[in-house]
Amino acid sequence: MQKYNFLFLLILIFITSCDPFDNVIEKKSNQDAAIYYVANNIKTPENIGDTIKIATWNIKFGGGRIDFFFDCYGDRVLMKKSEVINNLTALVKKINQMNPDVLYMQEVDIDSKRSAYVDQLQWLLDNTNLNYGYYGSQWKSDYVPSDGIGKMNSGSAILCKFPLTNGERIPLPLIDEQSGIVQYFYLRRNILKAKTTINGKDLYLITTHTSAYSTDGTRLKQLKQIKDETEKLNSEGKTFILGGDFNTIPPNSHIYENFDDSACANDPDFAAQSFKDQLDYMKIFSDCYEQAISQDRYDYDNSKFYSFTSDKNGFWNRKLDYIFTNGDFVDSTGMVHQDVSTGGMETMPLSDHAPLSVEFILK
Amino acid sequence: MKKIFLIIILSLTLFSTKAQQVNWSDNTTNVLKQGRKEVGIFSPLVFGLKDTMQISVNPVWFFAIPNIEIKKYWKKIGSINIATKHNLTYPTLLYKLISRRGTGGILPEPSVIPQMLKLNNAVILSKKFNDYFNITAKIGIDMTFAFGSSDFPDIEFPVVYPRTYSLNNFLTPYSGLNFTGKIYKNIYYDNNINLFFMTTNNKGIVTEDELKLQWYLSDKFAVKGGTIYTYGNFPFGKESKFLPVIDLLFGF
Repeated sequence: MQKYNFLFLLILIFITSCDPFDNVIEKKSNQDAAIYYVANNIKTPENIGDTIKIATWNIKFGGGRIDFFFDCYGDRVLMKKSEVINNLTALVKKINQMNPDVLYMQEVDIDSKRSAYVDQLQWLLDNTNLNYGYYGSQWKSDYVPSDGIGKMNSGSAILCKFPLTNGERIPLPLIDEQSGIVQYFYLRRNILKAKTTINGKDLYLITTHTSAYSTDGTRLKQLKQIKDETEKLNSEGKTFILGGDFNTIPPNSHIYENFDDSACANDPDFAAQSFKDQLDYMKIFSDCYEQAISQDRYDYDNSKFYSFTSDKNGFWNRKLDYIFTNGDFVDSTGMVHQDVSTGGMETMPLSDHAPLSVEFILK
Repeated sequence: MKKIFLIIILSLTLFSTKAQQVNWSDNTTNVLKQGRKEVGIFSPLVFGLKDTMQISVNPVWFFAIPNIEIKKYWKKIGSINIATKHNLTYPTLLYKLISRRGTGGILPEPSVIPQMLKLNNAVILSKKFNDYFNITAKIGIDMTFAFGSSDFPDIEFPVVYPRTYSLNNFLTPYSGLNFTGKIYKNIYYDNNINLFFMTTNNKGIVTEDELKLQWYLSDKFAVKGGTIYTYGNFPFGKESKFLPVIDLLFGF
């Protein structure tokens, strides 16, 4: 009998060791996959009035404007710890200047070889006025055997001055057109959700970062799932604020292909994508919810609200970042912090995205 | 699928009825008999040079990572058998191959790989209590001599990390214990515990416990399966992990 127990134990151990790179985040429950963070020193928030400031920012894993290998003109794969800390310090300067009460972040590394294993979320909580955070992995692997990337844990985060509860990482569909092995090592997009209570008002905070490269309609599927999630809250009479990097441009965008940051346009691996057939994608949100940058303001002047460029020597050339709510924003407070004149600081050197902020009305 | 599974099981059973006396290489002081050869899907080709010496190379990897290992049985003192193991590897070619962009890029492309010679020496002591229990102790050292400028990161993946640590850090002493014996007929257990001592930078110990079953179906065919549990200090902090182990072995 003992022999059979031993055999059973061995088979059990063998089976449990069959995700050798530990890539499948969905092995955990949605609740367990959302990791809670607390700053090492809790800062008492200043008195909150009738409004709070919400911001969203894709921080490009604290890589600033280093020329990485995935930019066609770069070759860097790994950063030194000093470079990461310098870049984070610059990000913190901008975050403290914006002073948001809630900050959504995308491409935050917590345990990645490329960013010298700096836990960026903890570092940002410890160096800003934000106290609490939830983290959801988007790209996790004990070793990515490609381009020398190595160990990776990068994802989205919700940072808040006030305590957060009910954290959840909800998986989004994977890119169908990828082979099984590529899919296994690739990014696993998700919705990160948490709840906070400010001045007695319950708010559901949601961030996401949808697929950048998919030609099989995966991004649209992801957007629809995000909409289902917000509609569920809406139908229950709950107030949500959704923000993030949607990798999709708004309706009525004057420029939707041949962007001027396609530095190596002849190489299909590096050419910026065309949004020609995707101009209506964001309507599923903008037709139903209030957004930080209203469609009217965007239609009046697209370029004021551009929030992305891959060319550090150029200027922001498309809008990919959004904040929506079924509550109310203060009119015309939505702003993309593009430079000194719109935001008070240069943001071009800090990331390939500019932060977007807006005032939300607590009522 | 069920049919295929049934055929495999039947074939293995047929093999097992022909099973002879076990004569396979292992982690003890034993060496292969003169003239016997053995190779696995993932294991090296081992050749019994003399009754007291075996030589092994990994034929699949040989052209990317030239390697040779000699295991020599020395003598018995009291009830303790004594052997030594000596391994020489030239990892430069492989490291140049895996420093690349795209799939298979284990290291970043701008890495600078020097000429490297890795030498591993170990002393092995075994005591056989009975068919069901053997104990082996070993102590060894990995040393890498590098020539020319060097700039490449460590491969921080369990199992690989402690075995390649010396390439960037010159020295990796290690020690280990092995327990092996018969469970039932021609099914054996093998529990191999290793401790690697990281000498510089992120000082600490990486431990590995490889627990597997070995089914010697005959002198010509064997199956191994189990798991490695690894735990220890890595540059990013503590890490623990189970990894699967499986191999098919052929003897001739």
